[in-house]
Amino acid sequence: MEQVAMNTALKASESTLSEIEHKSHVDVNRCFQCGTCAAGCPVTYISDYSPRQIVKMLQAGMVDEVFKASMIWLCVGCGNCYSRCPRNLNIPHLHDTLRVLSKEKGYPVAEKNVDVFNDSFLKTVQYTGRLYEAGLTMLYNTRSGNFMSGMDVAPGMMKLGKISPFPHLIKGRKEVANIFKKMREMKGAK
Amino acid sequence: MKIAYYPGCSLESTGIEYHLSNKLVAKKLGVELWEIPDWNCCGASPAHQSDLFLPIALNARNLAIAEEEGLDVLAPCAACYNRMLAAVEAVNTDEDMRAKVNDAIGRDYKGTNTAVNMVEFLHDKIGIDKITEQIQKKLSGLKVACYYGCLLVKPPALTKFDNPENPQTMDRIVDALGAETIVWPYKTECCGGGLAISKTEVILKLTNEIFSMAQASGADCLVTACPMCQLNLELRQAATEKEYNVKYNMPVFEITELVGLSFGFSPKELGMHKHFVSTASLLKEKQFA
Repeated sequence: MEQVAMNTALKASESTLSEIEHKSHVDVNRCFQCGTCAAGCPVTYISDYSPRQIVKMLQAGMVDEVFKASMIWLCVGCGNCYSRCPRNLNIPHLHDTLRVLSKEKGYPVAEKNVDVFNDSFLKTVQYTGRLYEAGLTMLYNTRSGNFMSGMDVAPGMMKLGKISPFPHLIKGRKEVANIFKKMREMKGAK
Repeated sequence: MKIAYYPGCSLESTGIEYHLSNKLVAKKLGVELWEIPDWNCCGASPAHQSDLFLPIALNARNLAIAEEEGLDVLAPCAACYNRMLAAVEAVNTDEDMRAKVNDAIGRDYKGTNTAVNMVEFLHDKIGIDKITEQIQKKLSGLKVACYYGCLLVKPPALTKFDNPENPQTMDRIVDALGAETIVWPYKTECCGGGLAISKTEVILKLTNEIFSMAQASGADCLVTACPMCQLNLELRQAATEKEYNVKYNMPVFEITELVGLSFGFSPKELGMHKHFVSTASLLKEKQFA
């Protein structure tokens, strides 16, 4: 007897789901929805969906909703969920993968400041080889529109001599720049 | 003993006291810290949140330089440590990734070395006995809440270090120094570090919960083995106190600062005057300064 497709969303998102599984090495169908991940998650309280719900939505083929979710941006990667998961699912890595794919596929970014912070941080690494804190603050503040971000703590940092206004340029920064170049080539080649 | 040393970006800026303490403690223990020449940033959370290849390649460059010397890498920052382990694992389990990474870094990283965190180094590689031999001053009367945070012990499949829910290694070291470790349930609760700038209100809530539990359990201070945890917990403490109308005034030490103090180094040599939460009154009260 021919099988009936009970969930059309699942059928429609088949190729995206297989791309997510291939890249994250996480098989969401192993999850039996115990909710241990959600109970221990430090950011569920400010997110739209809990990690358990993200996995459930993937099981149901709701990829658009998942790619637009704030949880994939707010996950701090603490590893509570993965450490406690009775099915041993690497949920932080699943979130990383979803975030990367969400951007590549052009979905709206649910937490813009997180994205701007990440991008500003990496810009300083790309050009200097290391994190350049003052540069990160300038980039983040102007690009996010939070012009006063960090200004409450910056004087204390300067006073203690902890933050330098100048970047430390490593000798091998061309090597580091090349890593970023290869990454962009691979993203383009995909 | 010789080990490659990867300070990471924080230890040269916001975590300078950790850097100073590590060097003094290592010297006293007869360990040569071979700083990876011209090391680059590990990429921290922005790298692994932005791309699947980038964090592996950034860490592989540093690991490859150490591998050429035949050395494992001591990574005192728990975040760097975790990212390095992820790179070692990726290179060893994914042939395709290894080829792409080596092409990008222009080196032949084989994945034969690994990363070691600071507590693991002191507890497993040096040993409590060797540490005890160097103690000149017992830290008697100091009540310490050992705060391991997330990335030192989690995920256990990656770190294979201590216990993710109730770790004990740092407590054993602190006990050996003569201080009193308190029993408390928030040893590995997340402080929210990665969202410190982009979502500061999360930090206030999470660090408030941590300090409130430490205070209720009778701690004078926290001790960590991560410059991200240390910075995050101290930098926003004043704002947390204001937001929740509480008073903690609780310094957060790095593990090697306390080890160094018991080895007889002065608080100034260890950089203890560079904390965002002043350590002066506590050190005076306990007669350590």
